Amino acid sequence: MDKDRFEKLKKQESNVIRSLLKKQNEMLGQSLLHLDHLIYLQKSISLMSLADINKVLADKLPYILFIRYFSLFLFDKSKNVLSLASHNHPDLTENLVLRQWDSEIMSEAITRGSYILESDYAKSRFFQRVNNPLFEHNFFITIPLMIENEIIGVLNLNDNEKGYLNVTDLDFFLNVSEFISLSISNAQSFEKAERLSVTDGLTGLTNRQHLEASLMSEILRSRRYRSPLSLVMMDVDYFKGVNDTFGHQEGDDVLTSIASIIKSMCRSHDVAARYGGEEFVLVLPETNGSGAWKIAERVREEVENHRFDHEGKVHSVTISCGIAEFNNEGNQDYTDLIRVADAALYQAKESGRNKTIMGGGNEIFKGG
Amino acid sequence: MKFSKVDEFVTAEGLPSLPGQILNILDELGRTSAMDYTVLQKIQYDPAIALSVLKAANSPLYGYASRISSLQQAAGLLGPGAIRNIVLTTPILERYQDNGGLHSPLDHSRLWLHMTVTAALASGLGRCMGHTETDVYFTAGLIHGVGKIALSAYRPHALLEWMQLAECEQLSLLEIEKRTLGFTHVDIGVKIVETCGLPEQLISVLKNCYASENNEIPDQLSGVVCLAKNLANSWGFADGIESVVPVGMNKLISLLKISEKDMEEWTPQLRENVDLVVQAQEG
Repeated sequence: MDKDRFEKLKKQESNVIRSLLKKQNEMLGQSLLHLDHLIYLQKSISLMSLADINKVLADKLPYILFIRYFSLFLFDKSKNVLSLASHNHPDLTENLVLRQWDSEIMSEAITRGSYILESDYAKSRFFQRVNNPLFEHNFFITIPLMIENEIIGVLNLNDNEKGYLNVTDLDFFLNVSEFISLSISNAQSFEKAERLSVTDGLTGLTNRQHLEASLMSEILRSRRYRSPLSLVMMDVDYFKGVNDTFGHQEGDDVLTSIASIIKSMCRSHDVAARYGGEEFVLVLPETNGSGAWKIAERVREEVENHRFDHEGKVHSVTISCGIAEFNNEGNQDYTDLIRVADAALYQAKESGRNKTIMGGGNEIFKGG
Repeated sequence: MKFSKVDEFVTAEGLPSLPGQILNILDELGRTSAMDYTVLQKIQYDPAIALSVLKAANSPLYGYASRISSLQQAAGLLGPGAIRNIVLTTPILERYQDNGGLHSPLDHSRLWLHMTVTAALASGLGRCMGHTETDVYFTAGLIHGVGKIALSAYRPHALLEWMQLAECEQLSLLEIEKRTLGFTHVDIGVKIVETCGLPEQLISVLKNCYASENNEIPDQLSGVVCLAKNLANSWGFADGIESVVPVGMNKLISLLKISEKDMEEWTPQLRENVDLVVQAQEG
């Protein structure tokens, strides 16, 4: 090989290697940056509360992904409904709920179980006749959030500083979406477990264990702020007769309906609980005895007027109620309050049922 | 670097590739969309990167250990992100030294072109012969000469000597390698693909590159790759390393039970396949 040709080929190779090294350097740098962001995201959304995760995502996801806009919808498979959980769009309605089919692109991503990348928003079949002045660039990507092949949500991303997406960006988005899926799924499982641990399985009311914890904290609050607190204990009259006549399934339906009536009468800070088989308890903060009596009577009347339909046979039930008002000057505890309400309930039963009795009397309280 | 054992040709970082090839693929990875397909288009012209992609796909990490025989399947399994990382970490095969000398006196681009032409021909022959896994035929053709790539990358000057000796003595390169090194580029290739955890059918192709010398073809895939290699040589796409080809084309055709008429009918399509590969390589 002559010297000129040798030098020429050498120079050619050296130029290619220089370009290659620059490219490698740039891509490795980007990979490291992505890795940093991924670790940061993972730390930021390792939370047990879905609301907290959504807030972190709204604040940080655009910076982590280098994108301008995103929206995250949670998918309820049983109802085919998409609920907006987190986003940074200035004009998007909060608490937006869509049927799956309302969004063609999200629906298709859910059905296919894979991402959809539209490189030209204006020409996309999903966005015909849709114009969004927010978007400066044309790409749009919809990624289904999956855990073990179950779709739990959809992440929509669009617009970035660069104006385009490359393989590295896409790969990063997909990795991030997996982290998000995992965190959301963990939080959902935790919240579900937490909800189940305090809820009565049949009626959906607070269970007895959680009632006692709630009552203790309400007693402390009542003492601290010298605020009134009352408790209503309710029992279904002749409930055994319902079971014997109509069967246990109907008995369960009666309990569920009564629970619904009680819930409908509750204010946001009241606690409605299933105390035992057919016994219910209402904890009423900021409510004195006469206020509790009115609420108990409304529940009692509503139950009395309710008609239960069992295979065409209409029947009704009644409840008896006992009330206890907490004396925040004394040193009673929650068991005293329950004992007073229970005694009043016993009196209501003894005196003919389907009535409300106001409890009280020093002989029942341990202290005064 | 001194090599005394086959094992020493197996490096953890994988075989090096030509700088232009690596740059091409990285450029493609940096572009917008259409992604998986265009990336595959690029990596299928590079036997060294293809081997690394197959190695990753056949690792236990993805749950398909020693089961992925096709580059197309491997690329789909790994995704563009993993492929990018493989390309980014592929060692660069430099020919020229800064001090004015040569790292390698060999024209590696001829070897690379020979491998891709063989791949295209193996895939075309497989299709013509009615085999459905043409992507496996392509892959086998593409990696059939990894032993030569390793030799040319790690012992280029020695390889040149052996090539000259083979030419001078009118012996096959295999015989010279055996005499001087104690083993051949076939042994090196087999060791590399075995270490990469590739499926047995691909290992068999490398083992049996020259098996037809003994009037037998152990399996269709190996036979087709042998024929594709010979066709590539005779159509002007020799690897620039082997001057004495041990087995004649006619013998291979008859061993594969291909009629002359079939071969004539298939030739235009095979030529077209080769032209496409050459254009893509040069483009």
